Amino acid sequence: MAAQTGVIDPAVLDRLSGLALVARKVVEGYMAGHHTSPHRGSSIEFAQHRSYAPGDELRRVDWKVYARTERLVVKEYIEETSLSLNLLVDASESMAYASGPRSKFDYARWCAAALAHLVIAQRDQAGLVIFDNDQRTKVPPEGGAPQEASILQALSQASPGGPTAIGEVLQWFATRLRRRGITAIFSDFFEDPDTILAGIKRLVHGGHEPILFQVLDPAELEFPFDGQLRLDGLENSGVRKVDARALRQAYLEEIEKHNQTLARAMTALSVDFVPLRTDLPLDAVLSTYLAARSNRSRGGRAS
Amino acid sequence: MIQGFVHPALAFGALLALVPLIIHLLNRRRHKPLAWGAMRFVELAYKKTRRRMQMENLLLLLLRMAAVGAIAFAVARPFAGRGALGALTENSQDLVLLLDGSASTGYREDVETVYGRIVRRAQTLVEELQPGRGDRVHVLLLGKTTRLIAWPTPDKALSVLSTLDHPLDEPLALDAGLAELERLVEDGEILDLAQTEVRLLTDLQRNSFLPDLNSDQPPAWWERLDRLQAQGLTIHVEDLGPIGSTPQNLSVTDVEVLGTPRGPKEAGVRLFNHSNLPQAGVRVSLSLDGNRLPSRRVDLEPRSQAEVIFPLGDLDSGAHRLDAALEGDRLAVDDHRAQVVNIPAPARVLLVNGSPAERIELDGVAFLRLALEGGGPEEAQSPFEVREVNLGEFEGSSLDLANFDVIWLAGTPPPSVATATRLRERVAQGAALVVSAGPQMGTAALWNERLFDASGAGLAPGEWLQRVSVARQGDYYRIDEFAGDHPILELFEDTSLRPLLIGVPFSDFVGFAPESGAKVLARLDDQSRSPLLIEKPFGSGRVFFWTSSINESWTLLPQAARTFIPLVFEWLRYAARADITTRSIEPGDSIRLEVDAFPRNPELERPDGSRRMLEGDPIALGGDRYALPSIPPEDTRAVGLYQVHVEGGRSVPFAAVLDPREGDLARVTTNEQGDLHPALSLQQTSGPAANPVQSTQSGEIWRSLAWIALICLAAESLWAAWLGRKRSVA
Repeated sequence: MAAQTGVIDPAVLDRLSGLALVARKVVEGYMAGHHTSPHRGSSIEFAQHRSYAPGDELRRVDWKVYARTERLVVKEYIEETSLSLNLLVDASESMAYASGPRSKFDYARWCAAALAHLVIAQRDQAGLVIFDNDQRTKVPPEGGAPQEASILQALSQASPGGPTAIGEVLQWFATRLRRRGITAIFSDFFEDPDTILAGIKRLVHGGHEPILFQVLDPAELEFPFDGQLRLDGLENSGVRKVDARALRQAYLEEIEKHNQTLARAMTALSVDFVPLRTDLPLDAVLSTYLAARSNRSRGGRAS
Repeated sequence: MIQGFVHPALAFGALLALVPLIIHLLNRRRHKPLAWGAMRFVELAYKKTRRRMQMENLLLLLLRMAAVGAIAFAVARPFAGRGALGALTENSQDLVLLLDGSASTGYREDVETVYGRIVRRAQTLVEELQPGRGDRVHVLLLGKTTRLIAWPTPDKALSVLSTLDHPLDEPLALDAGLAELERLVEDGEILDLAQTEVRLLTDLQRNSFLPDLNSDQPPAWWERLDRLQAQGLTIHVEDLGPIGSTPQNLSVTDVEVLGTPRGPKEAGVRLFNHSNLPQAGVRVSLSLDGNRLPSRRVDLEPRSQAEVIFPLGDLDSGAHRLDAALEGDRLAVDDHRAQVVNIPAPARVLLVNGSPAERIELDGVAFLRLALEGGGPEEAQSPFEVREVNLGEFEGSSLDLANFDVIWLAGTPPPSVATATRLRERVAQGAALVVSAGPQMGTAALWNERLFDASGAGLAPGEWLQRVSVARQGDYYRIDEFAGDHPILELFEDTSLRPLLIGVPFSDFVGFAPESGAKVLARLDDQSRSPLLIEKPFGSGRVFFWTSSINESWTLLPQAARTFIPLVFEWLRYAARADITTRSIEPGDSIRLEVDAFPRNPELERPDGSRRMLEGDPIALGGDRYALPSIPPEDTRAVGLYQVHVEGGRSVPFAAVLDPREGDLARVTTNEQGDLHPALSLQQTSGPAANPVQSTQSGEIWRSLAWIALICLAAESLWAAWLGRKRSVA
């Protein structure tokens, strides 16, 4: 199936050794699905034609069009910028949960590694912060192959543990970002939505563009258990004995309500909220999101 | 409320209702551990659903428990009255059948006995019941005692009724049957007498149902019936007896041996013609120890008695079996009558001579010995074996007192302490001690010290006082008063013989103060009316004190042979228990027999020839006497001859004899029906339609419980399915 659709099954990624290989594979998969990249690189690039208006510089008149159509039009170009991508990866203990072969943290760092590889390959800058309730590891944004190596090394060496405090971490992080750019946050966001929202708002007000990647295990979304369970909460969140079947409906309602609250809040702030399931192909998810984002940046409608 | 169970033991099965609860609790203890990150949502969901889930689970649990409990309860088949559970009851029927199983119901009419008719009618009544509806029946077989033979299901009753083929050899004791009925009510096995159909199937024998007109007091069963009637009881009496008010029947009512222990004897067989017609030429036979004697014929007037005498000749001492028989008639059980008579062995008498002398008139016991050894009514065969000893021999240790039935201390000094102890032991075992006074008897104080005890535990029946003599020679004391109803002296109660006793002169005697447990049999005519003859029971034996001499020292009694000889004969026969006795019991009584040697492997042989080892250890009675293990009532149910065979010894027979009144088949007449107790409602016809068994308000609720269980199970299934679907993964 993966070969037919061009996406990479997560099971394939499981077998790859090293994040570099995973990142490259994911990006190759993404590129194989899109022959022309929506990104124009770092040079000045043509954007569109418009009718000549008095005051326009004559050197921007497209003479070739005038020769063919005898109409004066001027070329408009996209201003050249250098993208700065900050990757924030939640390494709290709840990210260690895995109902299948890979944990949410594994999935999050693959995704982060892939984005870092993609951005640095386009000669933009990428940085990394691994956190739980505090900053644990930081790789300041830079470009180039060594930077990518540093990011991948930091990701591969990290392991989940400790409590979560996303909201506080985001607030703290917003005060330390000097350069405006994109902040991709990988977490399960199992925290009070208001706290998270406060942190996101701080980033937005700081001129940053946060993107929330919510990484969840399918078991957390479906609660497919039966019988009597003793749930030992990760991050020291207590122990609860429950009848799984009796609890399921209410649990699903609660988590759905939480996710919708987050999603609505992010929509209101024009912040992307990208749910990720650890059992879905990473490259397909990424490419879908990136394509939608590219389309949106070109004035298209978000799908 | 629940008033009882058909199968009370199964009611404990209701505890099975706890099984779902136990499973629930066990399941709660088995939780699968799971590390979980999204606890935030679990906690929120738990808080939101906890109460609802508890209610849902509780309802499920209760439904399961109710279903199991109701099933278990239904199996125990409870029954309820008019209380809260009254609506669940079915209109079941409670029937109590009282079956007259007395011997008189063995009367055969045509090919069927009255008893067979009673059983057949009982089967018909039971067959009308419906076990599935919860109908219950108690079947009581009435005889001398009452047997609850079937309870409570009709199926069991029919099964037991089919085994009843012979009546009991017992009379009908209505009191015992009513007592059992009362017990059933008290135990709650009969819920409500007023709602219970009680039927008595009987031959309506007059003796059993009408109180004795000669008695001022009503019979005990009459009062018991009063009490039961107050509780609402009505007994429907079905008369299934023979045709006619006085059915024809001849009975052997008694067999006895006539004569004295030592001499030729006769057997008297008493017959009774219970019918209103004379019976001529009735042949009567008798067998003695299995040997049939020549039969006799006798004529019997209506409702009269006759006695047929059979000469038996001399009989050895010991038990003899007699079996009298008539030609068979419609009631067979009273046509035979067995009896066991015991001819006593000669009583062994020890005479202790306190004043031996050459001249017979001066000797202490010479006249007494002569009287006992010979010169009596049966000169050839004295009923006594007499041995005379002097004081030295008596006090010697070689004399075994166990070899004597009577020990007579004739004018002796008080026995030594050791001898007094031996005497006490022997008398306690059953021997008799006779003490007669005399000039050589020593001091009263020493006698009292050795034999008297103020607490009544001593051998002596009182205290010796002072010797009393007549004031002038030629004056005498005479007997002023005696117990004419006592076996020793009853002979002299006859007016013609009385002077023989009261004319006996006494010159001296010793005053005596009897203790409270002693009985004075004769008193002298002195101023104090002093006791002459005193009796006291001691253990299994008896003690007699004669306050004058038994020789001529103080009285002229020995010279009066017509007084002296019968007096000492009757005295010692009574003391030694040397009378002809019968050994018989009523059917259903227990009996304990005694033998003269250690009984090895005693085995009871019943009249039908069946045998059974007697269980238990024999009890030593002293000497060579032993008591066999008691024979229980269930082994003596039938009339006839029984024998206990002992390995290496003589068999010991006894007889179970029918109450002679059972042969009187006279029935309650139409005119007498008004004299029946008001609680007895006589049914003239016995068809089922005549008095249908009524429905009771109380009844079983097992069917309702079964429905409840089914409803609970269905509700549990639906509820569980709904919960399962609701909780399953979408």
